[in-house]
Amino acid sequence: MTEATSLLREPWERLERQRQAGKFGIWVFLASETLFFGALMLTYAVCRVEHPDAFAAAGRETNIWFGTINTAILLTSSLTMAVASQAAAENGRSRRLILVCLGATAALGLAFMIVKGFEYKEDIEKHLLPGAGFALRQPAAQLFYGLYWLVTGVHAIHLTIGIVLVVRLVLLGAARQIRLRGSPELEVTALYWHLVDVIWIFLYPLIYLPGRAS
Amino acid sequence: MSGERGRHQGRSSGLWLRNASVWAALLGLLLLSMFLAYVPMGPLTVASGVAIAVIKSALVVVFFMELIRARALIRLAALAGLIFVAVMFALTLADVLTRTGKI
Amino acid sequence: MTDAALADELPFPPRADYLRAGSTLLSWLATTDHKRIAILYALTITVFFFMGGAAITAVRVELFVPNGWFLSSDTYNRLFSFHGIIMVWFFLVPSIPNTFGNFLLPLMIGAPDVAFPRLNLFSWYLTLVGGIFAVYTLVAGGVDTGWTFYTPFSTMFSNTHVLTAAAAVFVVGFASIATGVNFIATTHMLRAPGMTWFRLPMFVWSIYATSIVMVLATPVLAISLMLVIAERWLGLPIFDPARGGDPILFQHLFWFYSHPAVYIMVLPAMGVVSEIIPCFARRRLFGYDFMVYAIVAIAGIGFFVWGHHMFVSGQSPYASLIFSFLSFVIAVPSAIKVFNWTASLYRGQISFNSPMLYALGFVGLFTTGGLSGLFLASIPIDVHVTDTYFVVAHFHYIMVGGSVSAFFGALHFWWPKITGKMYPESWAQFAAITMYFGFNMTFLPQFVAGYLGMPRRYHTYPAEFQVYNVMSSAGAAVLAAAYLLPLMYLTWSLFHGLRASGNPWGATGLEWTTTSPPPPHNFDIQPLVDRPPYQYHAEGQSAGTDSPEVQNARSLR
Repeated sequence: MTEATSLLREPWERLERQRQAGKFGIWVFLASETLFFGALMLTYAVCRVEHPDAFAAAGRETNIWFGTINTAILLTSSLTMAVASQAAAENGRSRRLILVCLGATAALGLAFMIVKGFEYKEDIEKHLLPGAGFALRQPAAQLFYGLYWLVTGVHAIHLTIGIVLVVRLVLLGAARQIRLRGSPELEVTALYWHLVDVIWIFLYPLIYLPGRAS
Repeated sequence: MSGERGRHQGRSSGLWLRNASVWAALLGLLLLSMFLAYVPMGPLTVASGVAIAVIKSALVVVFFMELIRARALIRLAALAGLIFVAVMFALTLADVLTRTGKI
Repeated sequence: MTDAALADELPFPPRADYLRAGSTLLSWLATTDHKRIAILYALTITVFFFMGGAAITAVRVELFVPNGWFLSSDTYNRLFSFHGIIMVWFFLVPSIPNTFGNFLLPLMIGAPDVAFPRLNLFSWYLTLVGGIFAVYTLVAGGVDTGWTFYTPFSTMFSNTHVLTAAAAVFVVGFASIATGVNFIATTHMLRAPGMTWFRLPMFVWSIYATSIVMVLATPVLAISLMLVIAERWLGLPIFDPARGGDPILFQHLFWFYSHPAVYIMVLPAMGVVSEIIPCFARRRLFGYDFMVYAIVAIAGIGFFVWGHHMFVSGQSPYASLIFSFLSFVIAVPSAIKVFNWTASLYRGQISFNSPMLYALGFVGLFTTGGLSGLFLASIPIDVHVTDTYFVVAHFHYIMVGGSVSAFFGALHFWWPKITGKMYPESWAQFAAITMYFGFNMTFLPQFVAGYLGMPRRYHTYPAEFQVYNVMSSAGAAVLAAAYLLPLMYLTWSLFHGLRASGNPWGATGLEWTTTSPPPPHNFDIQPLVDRPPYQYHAEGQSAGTDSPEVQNARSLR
């Protein structure tokens, strides 16, 4: 009872109502994030419609193995996050299960960033930074890579925020500073994490699959 | 406490089973999209990648984000985001795709 | 209303109102009370209003003569850019939603606060951070791209502080989104028992619709500015035509937000007017249901018309046709609202208190601005008047004649509730009338000058336009005086004004059932709602007879 009242905040009178409002609020925020990344996807779409050949040539230069492995890593992190959040929402699940799954989620997120780091390093070595000395001759290929660096950078920032949120939950939960089971914060973190995954799911075919069939 | 845990102890596998099946489908679709990218089908090749991404996202949103169990209000919020992205795409492409270069 | 009457109203022991519950600076800067946050916002936007006003004062003084006399062209460009950026994002967008929306939304629905009070405070701090970027931009020399940041000038050729200006707007945009999320959740989840959706006051509907627009449109603005920043700062090619970039794409992304943004600026104003007119005509709002549908329609269709800002940009004529058609369509719900406000006056017992003067001013000026918008929706006419003073006059009629009038109307209408003091009515009426005449004197000549061909954003102009510019600048002086008057007498009223009762106007609405000023948690007893809004008279009758039982939408438990 005291744990429930300690989670209760103004202006709410009942925890269930507060939880519903938090969930609704985060979905509204996710709708705004949809527009945010949607605008980036639109930018890509317009540029690709206007320069299909250059985009195909540029897409061919991306490393499909890094991309596919990273996508698989994020999809798996969504699995562990889903198990963690569903276990937290159901009665009688073990706290250890939640902590292990949250830890795995954070670890997979970090693995993504590490792979990305190797990928960025390779891109730089292949002269895929737009500007003087760019590897490909079509000018619009630089446009592809301008968008590539920007979009993957913004995604990485969002992923980093997600990792920080998950690690926070793990540390506070392990130290029993917060109660993970039934935690509204965990629910919100999980939804945010899945959004970051969904964004990458869309980025994958846009970055790694163009130009492979020619 | 241990009684509560016992209620789900044998069924933690249920939690994993339903989520891992979604995960397996996601990985399968990922590999499919990777292979299809190498098949020269013209515009269909591009479309296949995006279409598979749409399906994968739907799986994550519906099952991992539990939109299937959520109240109508939550689904409305999700839908609103998608509708307005669609409008943004449609009207912008209405310009980009119909430029003749003469005017 | 005397203190004796006030004492009779209060059946509870004396307790501090929200202004007096905590008097340290920290209690204000760390508050989670939506009413205090509203005051913080009010102070912030007032500062920005006068900053943006100072910039345009310099511009209008310069435009007295055709060839300029104390500004360089470069400085002139920076001044009108600063005016636009500050007025749009740091005054108009937050004005009614973040001051009156924050203060009134929980009160009007019978809630003790907004859904996420700490997020509310965070929004204000984000606004401050954005403001610091904006002030830095000013002090460092300004930006000359106009408030529209068009590429490739902003990304490749401008030598001014584009980055910090874009960063300022980017940051304050997230304050907008956070506020929108908060208000949407509040409206859905914190309505008092009996407060069903179709019993909500129009102001709540307008804030709700505005919040949806804020949440869905602002992220696209953020992306458009982020792309400009990425190109300019990191050298990434996005809009560079030599490397395949499409500058028109920037305009699509920018206007996808900036058109709905004008509805962010006008919908709350419409909500305010719908509160004031019934009160001072003692009439129920005519056609409440259609007023609600109209607000929702304007908010929705507002997302489909942005290309009307791009008719001459190189946009495909087919797309332009679609945008033109939809721009005509969106005039319909706005017109319905104007007809319904007018019908709400019919058989009313109209009194011309200052809030009513502002509200009536809104109806006339908004109608004029809206009609001029129809001219702009027509592609052939738009091609002729685009980038002229015709457009400048059009949007100022709506944003200043409309939104700012409504802001001042709201300020006067709810001043007693917010501060517990009454302001001197004659001064207020004088200011309202002066504002109306000053406004028309400033902007009516601009319609003519624009139609005759005077371009906007030009430092110098042909001598044939001087007469219009002199009229406009003289009007601006009158307008400035009209804006300074409320600053003076409202501040005076804080110290010397009469104590206000809980409901000095005899208005309906839950906010009038609590004390002036309200207690920290808004209501001493939980409100229960059992009737629709605007019950100023019985069904089938005309103007109300002020019987107290039908006034308030409140029942005592």
